[in-house]
Amino acid sequence: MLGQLEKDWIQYVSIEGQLTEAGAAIWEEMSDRDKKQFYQWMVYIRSFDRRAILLQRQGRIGTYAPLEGQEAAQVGSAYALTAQDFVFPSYREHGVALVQGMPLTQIFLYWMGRVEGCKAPTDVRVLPPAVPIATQIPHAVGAAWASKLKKEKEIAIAYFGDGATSEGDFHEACNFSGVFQVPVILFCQNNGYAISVPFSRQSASETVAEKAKAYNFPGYRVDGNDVLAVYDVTKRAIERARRGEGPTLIEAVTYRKGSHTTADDARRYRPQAEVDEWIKERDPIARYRKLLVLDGLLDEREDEDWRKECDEKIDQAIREAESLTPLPPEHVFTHLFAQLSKQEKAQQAELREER
Amino acid sequence: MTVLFRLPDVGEGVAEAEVVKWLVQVGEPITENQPVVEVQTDKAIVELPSPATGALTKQEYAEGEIVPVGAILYEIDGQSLTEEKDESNVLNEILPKRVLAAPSTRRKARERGIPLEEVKGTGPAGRVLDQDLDHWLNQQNTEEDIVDATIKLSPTRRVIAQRLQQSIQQKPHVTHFATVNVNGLVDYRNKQSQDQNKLSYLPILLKIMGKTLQMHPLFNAHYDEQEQKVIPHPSVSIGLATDTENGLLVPVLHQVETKNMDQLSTEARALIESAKSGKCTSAQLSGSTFTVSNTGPLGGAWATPIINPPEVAIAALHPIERVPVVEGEQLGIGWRMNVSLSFDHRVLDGADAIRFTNTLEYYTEDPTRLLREWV
Repeated sequence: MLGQLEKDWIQYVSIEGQLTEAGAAIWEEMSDRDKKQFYQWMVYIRSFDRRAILLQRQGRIGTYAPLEGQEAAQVGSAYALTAQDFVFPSYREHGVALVQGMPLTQIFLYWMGRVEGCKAPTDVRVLPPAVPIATQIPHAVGAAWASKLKKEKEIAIAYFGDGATSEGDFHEACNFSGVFQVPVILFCQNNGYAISVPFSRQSASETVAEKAKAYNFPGYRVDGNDVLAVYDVTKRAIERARRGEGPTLIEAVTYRKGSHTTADDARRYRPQAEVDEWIKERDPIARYRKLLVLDGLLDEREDEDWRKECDEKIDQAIREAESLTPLPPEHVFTHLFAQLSKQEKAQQAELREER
Repeated sequence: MTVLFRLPDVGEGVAEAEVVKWLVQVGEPITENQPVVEVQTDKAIVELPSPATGALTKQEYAEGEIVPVGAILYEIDGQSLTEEKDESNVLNEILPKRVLAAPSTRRKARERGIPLEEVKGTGPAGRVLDQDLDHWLNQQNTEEDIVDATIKLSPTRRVIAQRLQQSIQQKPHVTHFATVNVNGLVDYRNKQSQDQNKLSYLPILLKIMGKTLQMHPLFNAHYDEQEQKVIPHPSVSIGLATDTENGLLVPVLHQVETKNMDQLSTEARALIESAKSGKCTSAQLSGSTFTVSNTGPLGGAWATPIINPPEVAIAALHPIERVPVVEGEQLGIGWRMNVSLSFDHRVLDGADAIRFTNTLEYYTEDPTRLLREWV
């Protein structure tokens, strides 16, 4: 059923955990440490994601956008970046943020609606998640252009979904980066659905990657649940960008296993057989685990210890985030306008009195 | 230690949820993150996991009951990361006791304007079922048949009543009457009679009205009662007072000044159509800066229209008719239209209203004057 997805895509690890010929060559050159790190990051991010959903259901964080199923696309691409590169995420890229060094406590704070969650530490170049669709893509292009003008080595990467490719912002960003040859990676996680709109209703193009052709820069379609392929394709694109050879569009074909957000019910619009296939056959962690086992790189004890460590780190981050003094309701006005209008001041005072 | 679990907003902006199933019974042990109860919102059925490890000591709501967001749903004796002191169910006391009904039944009641608290529920624990709504409606009808013939205001009429009452009480209304020469307007319209898409008077008048409003910006304004401020609007959004089966509705034609007569014609027709069939969205019914009541097709000579707040003026356009007119020493026949223009006298004066209808007449007398100013 999902055969058409595989049209012209790059895959290095099959769903059985077998390396392809091209994959084997890349695997050969990688260190054991990197190989294990892929796995550990994916496990960590999934544990975090599952916990976040529980916290939302307990009323401890606000509406949350789950990412389970997209770990390989996020870890593979982020792992190819350096700490100096600029990341412009949308609202589902907590995995990318973690790999880039965003403290977990701050990620929880973001989902608690705290401004502290938006402000990355000075050495972490991850921008606050862009909730409006596609607005972050021109920003990334701007950052990349600045880097080019200043003759610096940093590149910028914009993360967005399949739905964003219908927005003007996406096309403007593509056009500009093509004309000015800026060092930007346009990384699309095509999870098949923009909330409930399937990709077939999103675009008449068969793939996202082919759209790059119109702007005259390379577009690659990669199996987004294959962490090795995502890593390698992103890495090569970054190298191109650093050499001054311009932008690359990457389409990582993936699937979110859960709903769009905790306020959504994906069972209403996705066929069960399709969901089952992605969960049972195409899970990114299960596939990579098979490869590690085949290669003798996975130690069960070590794996268990790591999962425990993840839980402890998550517990600790929740404790830290929840220990902050809660903000009063009138705080909603604090970051909206530099100067409040008379009406807003009156509303703010009203909220304060009600308290 | 007692841990109180309050129903979170599990969707986005969800106000309540129904308890579908308790997965843990009172007295049973519970571990952190274990699902305790299944609830249903308008959007989905979700399991709610426990924030603590211990034992379930109290279920505040039975299966089938509706829980408001923020109310205490259950209690645990145990340990959690975040501990909440017992606040003796303060919230439960503040929140009014809700009538039991499924979300779908609530929606039906809302749509039909039935006050749920007046309906006697026949379901378990007095829950209101769909058939109870029908029963209530039937009862209302028979009572009306027998007892008296009074008519309860429909939800639409209640909104109309409230807004008009507010307007007439707060705004000092003055109505200016003018008979305007529309010879040119009639000519202009008749000239294009061969054309397939013959324009009616309304889009031509809307174009002229848009032009007039831009030349008299204080008429295209809102009045802020609290601040006592006039807020003129750079763009013209004309509310079209529309007679529908459910009462008066005012769909809004936005950015009139940027549209040609064909566009105005198509949009006005679509808006009036959806108002009549009750399909207007709330966006289509808000944001007007001036209201036009086109009574032309129906008849009448004059009116004293009530201003649609927060606007500051409203115009009723009466039928275009052939009337005897004095031309020099001769009696001739001319086309005339009456206009009744009500305005908020706090913002505008009688002289402003006369200047307004004079401008209107300048264009109705000869719509080709619009061409001269065309840029």
